[in-house]
Amino acid sequence: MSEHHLRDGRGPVRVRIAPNGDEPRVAIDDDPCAVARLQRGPRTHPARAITEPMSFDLDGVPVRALVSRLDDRVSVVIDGELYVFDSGAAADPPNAGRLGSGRINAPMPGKIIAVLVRPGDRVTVGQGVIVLEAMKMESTLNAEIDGTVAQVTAAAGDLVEGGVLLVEITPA
Amino acid sequence: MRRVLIANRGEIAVRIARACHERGLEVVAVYSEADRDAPHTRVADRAVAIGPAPARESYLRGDAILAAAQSTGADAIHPGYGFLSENAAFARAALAAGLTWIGPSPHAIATMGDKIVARQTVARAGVPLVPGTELSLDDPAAIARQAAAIGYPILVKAAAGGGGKGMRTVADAAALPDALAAAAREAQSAFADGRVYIEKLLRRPRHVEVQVFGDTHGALVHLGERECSIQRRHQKIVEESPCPVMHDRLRAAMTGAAIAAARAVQYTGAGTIEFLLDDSGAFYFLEMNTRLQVEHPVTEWVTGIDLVHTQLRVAAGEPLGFTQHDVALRGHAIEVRLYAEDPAAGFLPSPGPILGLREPQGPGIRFDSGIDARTIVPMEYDPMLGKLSAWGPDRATATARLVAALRDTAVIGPRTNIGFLIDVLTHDAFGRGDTHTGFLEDHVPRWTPRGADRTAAAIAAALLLDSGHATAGGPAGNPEQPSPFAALGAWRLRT
Repeated sequence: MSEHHLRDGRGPVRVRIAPNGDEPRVAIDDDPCAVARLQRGPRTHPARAITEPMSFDLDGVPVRALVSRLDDRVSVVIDGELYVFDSGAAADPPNAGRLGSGRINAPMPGKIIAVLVRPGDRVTVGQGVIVLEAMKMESTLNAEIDGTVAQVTAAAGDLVEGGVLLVEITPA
Repeated sequence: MRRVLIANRGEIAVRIARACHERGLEVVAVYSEADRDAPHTRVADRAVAIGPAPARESYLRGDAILAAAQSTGADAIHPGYGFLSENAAFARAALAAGLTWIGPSPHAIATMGDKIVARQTVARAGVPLVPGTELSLDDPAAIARQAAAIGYPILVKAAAGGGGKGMRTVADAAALPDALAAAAREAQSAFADGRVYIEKLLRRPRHVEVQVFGDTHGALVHLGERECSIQRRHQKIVEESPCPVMHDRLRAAMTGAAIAAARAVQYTGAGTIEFLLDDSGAFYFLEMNTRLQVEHPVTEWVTGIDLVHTQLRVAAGEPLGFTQHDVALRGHAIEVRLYAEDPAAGFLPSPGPILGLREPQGPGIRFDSGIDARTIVPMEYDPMLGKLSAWGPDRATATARLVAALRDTAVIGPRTNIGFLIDVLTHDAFGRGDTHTGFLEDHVPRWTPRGADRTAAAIAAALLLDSGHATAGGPAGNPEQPSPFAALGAWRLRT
């Protein structure tokens, strides 16, 4: 028997799991779920990950899942939907795009095509600040807040990694 | 023709290789450093490295590709779509090197590839055009005057363009200079030709295109139409045949115009004439694509004709093998494009390694894939992973099969648009066939994953991955990682 504490969109979830052959016992928030007919596919290890297809019945409902763990992140696909669990310790993924931040980060690796602002410029929400080319498409990164450009750390022609700071805006 | 070099990558290179092998032809693949060991290199009889990852140093290098053809003894080139497929100079160079070019004549490519010349050419053949300028636009002041005369909103497009690259929607005069500059820059980088033109933006039109096929003996037929209205960033993501609002009279008019446009350049091989169809039933020429189209599988489903086989036959100088009378449309087919992108974050591309992959199966299901379970999706190219299509005796059955197949598909690693596509296909407006180029804006703006309804099952699956393996050692070279569920207290589900 092991006990795990997870967090989903609604709050903390306590999960207990006891291995029991192909019918392990799982309880979510003390609510026992009957896992039956567990079948596990061949395990593969692409790019340091552990990946396994599996199928089981959860409380009588058939589930067909593809599960993969890479470092501290577990991804599960069921019915075309992706569920990602992580420890909460990892940085936000570069695509998360926190709304209303004055920090404009590169959403993904790419090439800076144009820098549209200079330090000291006043900018408003939605104003384009950087043009980034990635995967053959140009994307304009916009200011998420009104304010003044505090610093610009990228120049046209730079190749940048995903997640790096490009422009910082001080709120008005 | 004995050995075909495929000057492309991804799913289309795999699909063409399959057709070549079916016809007893050998296949030579080319690949960039980013595609070493990619699926398209493994299905080929030989594979040749042609350069570094950026397309302009590999897949766009005609000289390197022709050298690869020479060194491998290839006697024909299939360009696929994108890259050099609509580059008349490359087609000419291939022919000059004594190779068979599996495509239309360089003259047809050049005429239709210059969107400005194309408009003039088809207008003379009596094909209706979207109001716009037919001038080469190098003078910003003149462009502004012409844009005002046409009336906003307008569309800025690359003269050499295609695939939505170098294209911008412009709402008003103030936004025009930036849009022109960005479109010209993108066009220059994608096509090495920065010229742009402008066109009136029609309100909520359907995008309907006609597949044509010509041979070198003077035959020219159409294979019905495809509707491809549902687009994001001007790139199609859902394509179907027939068009849900098509009727005999409209089809006769539209296919007639398409044949007239193709005849204007003595077209041979596979080509597509794109139209915009407004709600009054009027249609306007958009452009002609002088190559195999991404969405050709839906035409193959409803006509039963293999377009790549037919391309190979025509290139070898054989007759088409069927007449217009033989072409019958049966049932309904729908295709969706699977992209490595995040639809919840403005469709940002999402490159990286594929960690898990499950391909769909079932009657009436076809998956044209360019990936496998060990692919790393490169950041240098279009992020399309593959195409999933379904056929059914009617549109509702085709839709139901396609949705079931999408639910059956699993990709872990890059973010994908699978959940987004399911929401599009199950939307009431899609079910009614009420599709137009503003569909996503109107019906699926600011998409977020539905998720959550199978959270308990996902939690169980995540935990079962480690359960029973807690003490198991991993295979050699892949030591089992310590379970994060055991090592850490608080876990959360990201949405």
